[in-house]
Amino acid sequence: MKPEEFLEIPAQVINEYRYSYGGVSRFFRSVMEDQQLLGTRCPVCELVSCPPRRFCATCSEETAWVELAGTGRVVSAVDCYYVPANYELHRYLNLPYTLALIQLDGSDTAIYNTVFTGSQELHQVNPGDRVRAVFREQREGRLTDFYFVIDDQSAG
Amino acid sequence: MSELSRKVAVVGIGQLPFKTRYPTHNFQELAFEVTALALKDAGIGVDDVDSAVYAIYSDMLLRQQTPETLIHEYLGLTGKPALRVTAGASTGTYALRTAFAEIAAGMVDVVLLVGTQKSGDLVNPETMHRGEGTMMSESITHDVNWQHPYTPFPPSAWGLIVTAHMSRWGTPSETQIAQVAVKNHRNAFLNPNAQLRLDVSVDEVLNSRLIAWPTTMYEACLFSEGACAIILASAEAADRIGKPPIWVSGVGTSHEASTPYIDEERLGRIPAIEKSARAAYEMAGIQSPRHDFDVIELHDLFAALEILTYEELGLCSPGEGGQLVDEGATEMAGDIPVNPSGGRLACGHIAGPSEVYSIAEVALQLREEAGERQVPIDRGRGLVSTVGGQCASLGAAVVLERGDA
Repeated sequence: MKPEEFLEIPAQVINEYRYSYGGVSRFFRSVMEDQQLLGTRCPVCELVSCPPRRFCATCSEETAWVELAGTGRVVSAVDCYYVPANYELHRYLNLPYTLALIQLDGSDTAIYNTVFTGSQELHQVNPGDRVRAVFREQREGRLTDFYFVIDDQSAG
Repeated sequence: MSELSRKVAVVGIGQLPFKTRYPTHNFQELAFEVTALALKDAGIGVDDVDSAVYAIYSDMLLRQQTPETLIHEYLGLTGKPALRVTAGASTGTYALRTAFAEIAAGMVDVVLLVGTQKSGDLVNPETMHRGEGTMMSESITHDVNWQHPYTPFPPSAWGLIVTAHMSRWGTPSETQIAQVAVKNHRNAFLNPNAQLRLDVSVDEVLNSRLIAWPTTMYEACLFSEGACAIILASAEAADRIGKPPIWVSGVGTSHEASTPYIDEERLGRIPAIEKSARAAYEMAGIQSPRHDFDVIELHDLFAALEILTYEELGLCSPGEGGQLVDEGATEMAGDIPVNPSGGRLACGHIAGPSEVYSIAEVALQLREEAGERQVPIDRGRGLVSTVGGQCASLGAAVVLERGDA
């Protein structure tokens, strides 16, 4: 088949969502309204999760909310040089940025976020680095409402 | 395997080349052409097919829900049982597990497995760039609440495992990673189905655009369109069909966590690959993966992942994958060639077709019909490993062997 013989047309699928965070809504409300990070603790095995879970991953028990200090450590980090154009993330940061897996103090699990250093250089964020959460002025109930910076003052 | 289970063989193979786009084909036509190739290879007609399994990764890329219904009808199989499997970049191998189970359980004798996927039809509405449109759809594979807001691009999230591995073991080095890219790009020159033939040096790979450290542009997989089909048969049906059977002697899958493990034991490792391989090895009676295979096709979604996969497959100990690269063991001329097809870096990649292609590729190698990219077959056994999903959470492995293995 020759290129001039096939026909291509434009089309769109436009989906606008309104969805609930369900049982972990309080995490994002707390970030938005109180600039406070929360985790969940299982009453049976005492596992603390952040990201939070309504039901414990190991015991299936309904968990209780606990306040976290907002400090933690970098488990691993990767310097990222590409984000597709017109992504929301471009509203919050410039490239390159550092994606990091962060274990908050008091939590047994780890959360995805970014560590902002203001540097364009590689390897400014490394495993074991101490970090603390910073809350953006405009918060709308998303993971991007907060980010992390290096924090040499806090002790693990 | 339980006493009730029956043997399953690959008796027909159809491959279409991976391409940036197939503007000349809609997805039903891609499936039709590749099915015709597989049926012809097996020497059977569509009426001989008892059921079909469709490996179709994404509805969003197709702008069509339940596409398998349209394909099933287009192939002339209306009325026969069928189902569709989707599991990220392990879609085709998960689909094989289903097809295998249908035959092993005695439900049917001949199953058609088809992987098909258009992917280049999406455009980024601002830039009109097709690759970016594809990437936007692909990106919500990540957990939309807890991952996607900060990681809309898979190599970034998966990079968290690679950098954790590098800080834990000090390996692989950037040069070793680049060597894998050079190898797979070079292998693609021998594969007429490969999308990209790129003669690059280690320096060129290292100096190409950085995507997510340590991964550079030439170390990241392609985005492709394509289709691949396999005919699977029970021993009895294989005997009747008469094509030299390639037996599926082991199949394993493993669903793991969507976030990298942070405990000391699993930090920087990929349990989905390790556990799926272990399950397949156990079924196939593999004792020494380093010495039991003639050829391996695995998911080099980015070059560093190939090296980490060597370790998870048990070809070497954790931290020693880079050494295999230094020794040249996984080159075409090495003692355990990996990705002679060119792999996902150079042959092409789109979830669904990719994994079916890898199974077909190893079967072709074992038949000694792989043309210029044929590797020596001594042990009569090959391995397919795939991984996909949120941050390497979906692993699958398939052991294939000839009757003389």
